[in-house]
Amino acid sequence: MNAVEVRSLNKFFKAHHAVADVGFDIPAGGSLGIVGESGSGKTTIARMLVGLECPTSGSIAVLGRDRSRPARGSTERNTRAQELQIVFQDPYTSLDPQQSARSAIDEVLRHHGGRSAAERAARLDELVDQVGLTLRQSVARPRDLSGGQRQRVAIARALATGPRVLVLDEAVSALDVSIQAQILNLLADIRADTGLAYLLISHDLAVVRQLCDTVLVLRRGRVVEQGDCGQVLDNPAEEYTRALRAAVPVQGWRIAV
Amino acid sequence: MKQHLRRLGRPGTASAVLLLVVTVAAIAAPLLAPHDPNQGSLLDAYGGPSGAHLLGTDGIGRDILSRLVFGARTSLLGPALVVGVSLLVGVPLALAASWYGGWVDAVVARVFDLVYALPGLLLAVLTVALFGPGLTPAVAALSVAYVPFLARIVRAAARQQRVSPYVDALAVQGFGMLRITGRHILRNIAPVVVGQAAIAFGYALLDLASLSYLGLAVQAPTPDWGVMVSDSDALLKGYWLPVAAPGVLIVLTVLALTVLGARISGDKPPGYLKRRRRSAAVPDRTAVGAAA
Amino acid sequence: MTTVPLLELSSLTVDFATEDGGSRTLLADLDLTLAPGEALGLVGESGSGKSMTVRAITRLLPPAASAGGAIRFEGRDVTTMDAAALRAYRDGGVGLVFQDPRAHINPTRRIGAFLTEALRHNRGLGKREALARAEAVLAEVGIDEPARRLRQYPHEVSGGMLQRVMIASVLLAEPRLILADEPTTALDVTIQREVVAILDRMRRERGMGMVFITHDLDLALAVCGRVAVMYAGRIVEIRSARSLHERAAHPYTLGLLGSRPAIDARAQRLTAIPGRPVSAFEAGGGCAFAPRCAFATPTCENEPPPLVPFDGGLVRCARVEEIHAARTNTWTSKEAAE
Repeated sequence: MNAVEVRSLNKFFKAHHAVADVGFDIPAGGSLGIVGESGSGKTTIARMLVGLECPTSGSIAVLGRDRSRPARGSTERNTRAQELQIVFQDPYTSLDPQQSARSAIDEVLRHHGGRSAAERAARLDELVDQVGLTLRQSVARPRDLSGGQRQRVAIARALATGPRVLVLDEAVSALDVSIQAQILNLLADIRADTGLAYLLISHDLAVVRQLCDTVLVLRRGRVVEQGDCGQVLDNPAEEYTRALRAAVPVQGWRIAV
Repeated sequence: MKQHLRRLGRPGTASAVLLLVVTVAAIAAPLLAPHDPNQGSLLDAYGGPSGAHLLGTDGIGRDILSRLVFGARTSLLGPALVVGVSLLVGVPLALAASWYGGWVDAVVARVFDLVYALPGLLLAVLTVALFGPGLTPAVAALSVAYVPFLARIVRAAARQQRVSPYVDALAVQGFGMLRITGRHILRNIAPVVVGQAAIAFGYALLDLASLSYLGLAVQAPTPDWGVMVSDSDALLKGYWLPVAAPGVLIVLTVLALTVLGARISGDKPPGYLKRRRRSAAVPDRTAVGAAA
Repeated sequence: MTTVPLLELSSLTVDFATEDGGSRTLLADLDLTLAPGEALGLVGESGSGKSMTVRAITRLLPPAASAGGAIRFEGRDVTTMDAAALRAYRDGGVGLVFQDPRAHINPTRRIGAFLTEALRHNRGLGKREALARAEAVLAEVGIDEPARRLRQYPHEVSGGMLQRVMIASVLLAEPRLILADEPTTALDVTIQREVVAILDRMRRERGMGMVFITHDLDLALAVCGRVAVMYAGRIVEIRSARSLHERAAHPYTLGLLGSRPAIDARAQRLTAIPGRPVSAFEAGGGCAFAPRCAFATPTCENEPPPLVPFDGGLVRCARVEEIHAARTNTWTSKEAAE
C-alpha cells in the first residue's frame, strides 16, 4: 500500500489556481521531492496534506485513509496526526518560544496517550537522542538554541506522534551550509532506521537529489515532470526542468545567459 | 529576579514599589492606620500635620492618613473588579475571534469597536441614573466599557501568534482550539495581557474616582480617594491638604500603573523578542571525530 | 604592479558594545585588497562577519559597533572622511546591492522617482535628462518596457525585477566598486542566474570592482575570480576561485565543500562539520575552528594560527602542510589502487 496517494488535486484561492490537477504516490518508506520556485504551489500542497488547507477538489489519502475533507472530531484529528507530521522551514517560529524540547515532546506524547509515565520518559529520551540533542539542549528554551538545534527539536516533536510519513517543508533551507549537511544526514539516518516515508518540499535540486528517490517538478501549480530522481535531474525531458538544472551554480558555470 | 528588574527599568521598578506599598496599605489597613478612619472629634477639625495626625485632619476631625489607608481598599477594589470582569469576558472572546477568524472575528471585532466608541463614564452615569448610585452599578457599567480596551489588544496579539508556524505544528499534532489558545497562545501573549490590564486598572481607578467625586459611586462617609477629593468644603475654607493628599495618591497610582503596564507589555510581543538573535547559551554535542 | 588598489582593508576590526557594558568582537584583523575591476567573493556562514565587513566598508555600522584598523578606498582612508567626503564616496565611489530590495526601496514612490533621486539631487540633473538615463540603464539590465516600469510602484513588479531596479540604481551612480550583500538569496534559482549574469556583465563592461557576499560557496566560485572564506570574523582561506575549487586547503573550506550535496550525484553521506558556526567573540584563544575540526590538536586550541601563504593563496591553519601532505598521499594511493 502506498503511504501517500494524491489524485487530481486542485486548490483555488479565489480566482487564483494555486494547485492544478496534481497527482502523485509515495510508496511506504519512499521519498518524494517536490521541486518548484516561489508561487509554484508546493507549500500549498504540503499544507493540504497536513490539513491546514482544504483542497478545492481531488483526493488525498494517507495510509489508505482519505483526508481530503477536514477532520471531524478529535479522534480523527489524532489518528491523522499519528499518520503524518510536518517540519516547517523556519526553526525560529515553528517552536513555542515558552517550551523546551522536552516539554514540547512530552506534551505530544501525553496527548497521544497509551503510555505509562515510565514508558513516556523512555520514549522521550529516545527521541531526544535520536535527533542528536544533548540533555542541556533538550531542557533549554528555543531562544537559547541555534537554528540547527531548533530544527532538531522540531524533528523530534514531529516524530513523537509516531507518524509513518514526514512532510519536510523547506526544512533545511534556512540553515547554514554546515548545519544543513548535519540535518540531511540525520534525516537520512532516521529514514533508514524507521522506514518513514518523506515528502520533501524544496527549491534546492541538490538537496532533493540527496534525500529523495523520486521527484516532481512543479511550475505555477502544474506538474511539469515527475519520475525517478536521478533520471529526471540527469536527463530532463522538459525545458523548464533543464532551466532549473542549469541555474544551479557549479564549477565552470557559464553565467552569461 | 534581577533580570526582571532590569527589564522594568528604573521607572518601572519605582512604579512597582509604589503599587506594592499601596496594596499592602489596603490589605493591612486596620493594622497600619493610626486612627479610626470614620471617627473624629470636631475639636480637631482642620488640624494641620502634627505628631498625632501626620497629615492633619479633615473638616470633622477625622485623621486624613487613616482615611487614605482605608480609602486604598475601596479605591483599589473597584478597578480590580472592573479589570477582572473585563478580562474574564474579553480574553476568551478575543482568543476565539483570533482562532476562528472569518465572520466570527468580524462580528466580535465590530462589537468591540461599537462598545469602544461608548464613553465609559457616560455608560456609568446612565447606569447609575437607572439603578441608583453605588459602587456596584458603577463597576458593572465600567466592566462592560473596558472589555474592548483589553480585548482589542489581546485579539491583535493573538492573531499574530495564530499565524505562527508553531501554532500550525500544534494543530497538525492533533491539539484542539482550547488547548492551543489556552495553553500556548495565551502564555505567549501573557505580558501583553498583564501590561494592558495594568493600564486599564489605572484608567478604571481614575474613572471610579471621578464617579465617586461626583457622588455616583462610593458614597461618603466611606473612606475613598475619589470621595475625599470631592471635599470642596475644605478647599473653600482654604485647607488644601485634605483634598491634595488623595489627589496626589490617585495621580501617582495611575501613573505607576501606566508606566508599569507599558513596561510589562513592551512594544515587542514575545517570540519576536529574540527571533533573529543567535544565542550561544547551549553548546552542541561536539563529536569531532565524526567529521573525519 | 604599482597601481593603487581600489579597496584596501588592513587590520580591520569591528567590536560591538553589549547592553551590559561589555564588548564583543565581530571582525578581527581583516586584511584584504581588491584591484580595480576585480570580483572578490566573501563566503561564510552566520557569525562569520561577512555582512559586517560590508557595513564597515560603507561606514554603515550600527551605533553600538565601532571599527578599528584602516579602510582605504583608492588610497584615501574611509574611516577619517568628513561628512562631505563620505557623501561623495557613498554617492560615486561605492554602490550597495542588498539581499532584500523590497526593504530598501521606498514603497510609496514610483520606480522612476527612486532611480532619479540621486541624479537630480546629487548631480543636479534635470528631470527629463535623469529619467532618460534611468530608462537607458533599465534597458541595460535587461528590463523590458523600461519607460513603463519607471511609472510603476515597487509592489507592482516581481522580486527579481526589483533587484534589477536596485542594480540599475547602483549603476546610475557609476561607482568604481559594487558591494553585493547576498543579492540573490531571496530570489528563485532561475532569477538568481539572470541577476548574477547582469551583475557580472555590468562589472566587466564598466570595469568596476565587486565584493560579492554570499553563503553559497558554489555561487561565489562561479561569479568571482578570487574567493575569501570567512569563519568567526576572520578570513581562513583566500585564493583564486579555480584553485579553491580544486585545491582547497583549510579544513573549514574542505568541510563546506563536502557539506553541500551535489546536483549530479547522491553522496552516500555528506561530510558534515560537527557543531555549529560561531561568532568571533564566542571563539576561544586558539583557532576558532578547532572545536569543529577533525585535524585539531591541543596546540590548535591554544594558539591562534596566522594567515600564511600556501599553494598560491593564504590559509589560516597551523597544520595546513601536514593535512595537505596526508590528503595528497591518500589521493595517490587511491589512484594507485585503481
